[in-house]
Amino acid sequence: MKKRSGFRLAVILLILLAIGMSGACLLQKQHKTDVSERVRITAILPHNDYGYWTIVRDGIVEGGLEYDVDVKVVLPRMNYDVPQMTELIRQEIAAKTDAIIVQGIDNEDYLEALQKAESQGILIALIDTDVEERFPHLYVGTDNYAAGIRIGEAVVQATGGCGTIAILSGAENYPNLEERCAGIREAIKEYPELTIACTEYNQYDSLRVIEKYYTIAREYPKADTLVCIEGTGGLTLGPRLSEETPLFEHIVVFDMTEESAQGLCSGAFDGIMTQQQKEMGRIAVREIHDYLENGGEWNRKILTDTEWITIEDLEEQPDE
Amino acid sequence: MNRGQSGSISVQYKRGYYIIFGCVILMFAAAYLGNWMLSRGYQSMLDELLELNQLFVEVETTNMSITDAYLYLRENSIEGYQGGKENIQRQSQLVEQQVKNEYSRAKMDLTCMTDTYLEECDKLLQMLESYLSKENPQEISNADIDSQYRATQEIINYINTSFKDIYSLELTVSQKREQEMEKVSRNISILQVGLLLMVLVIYLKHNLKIIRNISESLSQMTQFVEHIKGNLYHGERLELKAGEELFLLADTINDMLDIIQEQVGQLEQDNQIRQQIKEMEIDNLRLKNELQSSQMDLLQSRINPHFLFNTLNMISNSAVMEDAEQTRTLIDITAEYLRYNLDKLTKTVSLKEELDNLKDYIYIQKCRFEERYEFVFQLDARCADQRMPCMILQPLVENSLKHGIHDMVSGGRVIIRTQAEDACTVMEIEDNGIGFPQEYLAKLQSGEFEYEKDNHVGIRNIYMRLKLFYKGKVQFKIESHTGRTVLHIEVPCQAGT
Repeated sequence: MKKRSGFRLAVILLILLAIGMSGACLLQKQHKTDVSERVRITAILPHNDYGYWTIVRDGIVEGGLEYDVDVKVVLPRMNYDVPQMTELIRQEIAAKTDAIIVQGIDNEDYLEALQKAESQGILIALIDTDVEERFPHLYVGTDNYAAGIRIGEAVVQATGGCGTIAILSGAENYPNLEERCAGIREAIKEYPELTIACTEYNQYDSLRVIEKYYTIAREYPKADTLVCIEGTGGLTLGPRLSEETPLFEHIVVFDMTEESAQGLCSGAFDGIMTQQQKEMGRIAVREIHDYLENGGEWNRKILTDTEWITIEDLEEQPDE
Repeated sequence: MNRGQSGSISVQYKRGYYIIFGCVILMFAAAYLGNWMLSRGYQSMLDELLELNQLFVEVETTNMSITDAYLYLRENSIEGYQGGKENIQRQSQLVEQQVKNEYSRAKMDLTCMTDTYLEECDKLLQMLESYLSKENPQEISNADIDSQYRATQEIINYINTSFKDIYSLELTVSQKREQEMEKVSRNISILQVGLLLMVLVIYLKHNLKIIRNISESLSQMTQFVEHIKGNLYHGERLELKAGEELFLLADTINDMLDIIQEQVGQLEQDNQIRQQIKEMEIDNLRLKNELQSSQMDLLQSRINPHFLFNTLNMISNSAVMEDAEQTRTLIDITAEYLRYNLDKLTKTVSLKEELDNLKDYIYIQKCRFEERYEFVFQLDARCADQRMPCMILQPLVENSLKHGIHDMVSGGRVIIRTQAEDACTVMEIEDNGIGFPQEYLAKLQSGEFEYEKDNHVGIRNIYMRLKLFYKGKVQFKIESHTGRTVLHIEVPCQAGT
């Protein structure tokens, strides 16, 4: 009996050991799931501005988690370095990614690379800015012309239809910015006393924003209204002008960020034209997922809404 | 007492050893499992890096073949490419397996890039073959081949960049994993030390409990032994808490105590019996002494019996000559009575002889008291031969006369009764006198007269003699109240000459 007890104990211990080891093996094997067929999406964004494009990136990442697709976000080393962005597109072509999310930039090499990607079966989703119809693609972004009209109307309301406008844009020949400018012109054409003195470009760089801000004020002393038609302007000027007296009577900016909200709260800005940039990123991922799952029409546009925010609105709706 | 709870001391110790053994096995198992997992983790990490590096080496080697083939159009280079392609595909599959085990976007992109690279290389080789073909050399231009070669090198650049990124990432991950593994290793060590300490604590506690139980049991045993030394019959039992061996010892002590108590009781009982026997022997000696004393008295009284009887005979003859018949009869009966007393006192007589002697005595008493007392005989003839000691009935009748009916002027009556029953003979002396005093009667009825040495020596003497004669098989009862006193003697039937 005693020998049997010892034997039983030994057997029990061995069983426990075996269970433990099996458990450990199972735990390791649990990770071995076949994920090689996961949808791979690459978002090549122009820069990380801690504002507009950062929010777009957040939307893309959220969409990836929501639709269980693999999302990779890559950035050029320099802001809006189009050749490097083109190189990144080519790299993704070589990597046979399933879809590329990029901003539409009117650059031949850039578009050629996108065209090549599309020709190799890679889905192209343009975000924020659309380009000409040289290859089938999906556009998700603001109706920039309509947004330009709305910001023009806001300027008319602020100035009473009389004054001089200086426009601070991002870069030349960017279709989305050109559309916004066109919208502004359309909105003020009925007001002959409200004119556009100049259009300057900050190259999406805060240092240039500050430089252009003072340059415009110095070179165009009659300009009483500054319109920043892309996010870097509001992002840079918001904190600065909350500490010093603005050089312009009216300042309107694009895109809601913490910094632009600071400018609005301090009274430096008359208002902010907000876009649904997070929604843009999420929608782009959703559409890629749905298309790869169900097929359908890919070559189409999805326009997201804009909203004019003043300090009163901000007090009522503090989020975002 | 529930003995199954703890088991024997050896079993308890064994249990402790089993616990130690089990815990040590568990500790070794945990250590083995932990080391196995750690080494597996390290090995896996190393394997992944080696496979990745091998892919990189194969890509670089194959690309050298492609460059050679493009620049120098060497057949060997093309063959080298074919071999390298297979190696790349094999290594690429291994990396894909890594991705399946643990998904990595960078590795997934890398394997796709190597596929693209091989596709572009195949295209380049086809173009070279077409260009070198004599049948249709104009279709493929040198510029096309150059462009295709650049495309392959562009992909090689991407692959190199990707390798660099992956290495960087893998090394970062490996560093983190190594830190995690070190943490796991440290935790396992802490766990082992903790387990060892826990085992030691459990073992010590277990042993301490056993030792404490043994110590308590021994103390309890010592106290018990001390207790029974003072009081053997305290009635308690030794009950111990632990260890079958100690339980057995307690049982043995309890059994031993039972035996000692029984033997001591037996000794005490024997002692009591011996004391009773001794007392009886003393009584016998006393009785014998009394008997000898009475015999001495009798001998003294028989100094000259012949002279007494000759004198009585002479008086009797003189009474005849004087025509005094009644006197002569009285003297004759008196002489007969005295002769019986002198001759038969130490002898066994029959009931008839005893009754005849009694009748002589009654005649003498009647002559004395005339008709003042009445004596009635109710005799069973079957008892005539009953053997008995001499002088039993006469002293009893004399007692009735002296203490019972003595003061009655008239109507005093004594009934002498004999009756033969199944195996015994009953003799009764009944009178209608004043009876025994209550205190004395109570003593007599409780049997205390055996040891009484007061005035009623006669009754005690008669009883002791009967008891000796019939070897204790005698019943002597006294019933007495005013107007009726009965002495009831019941002896076993003993007929003889």
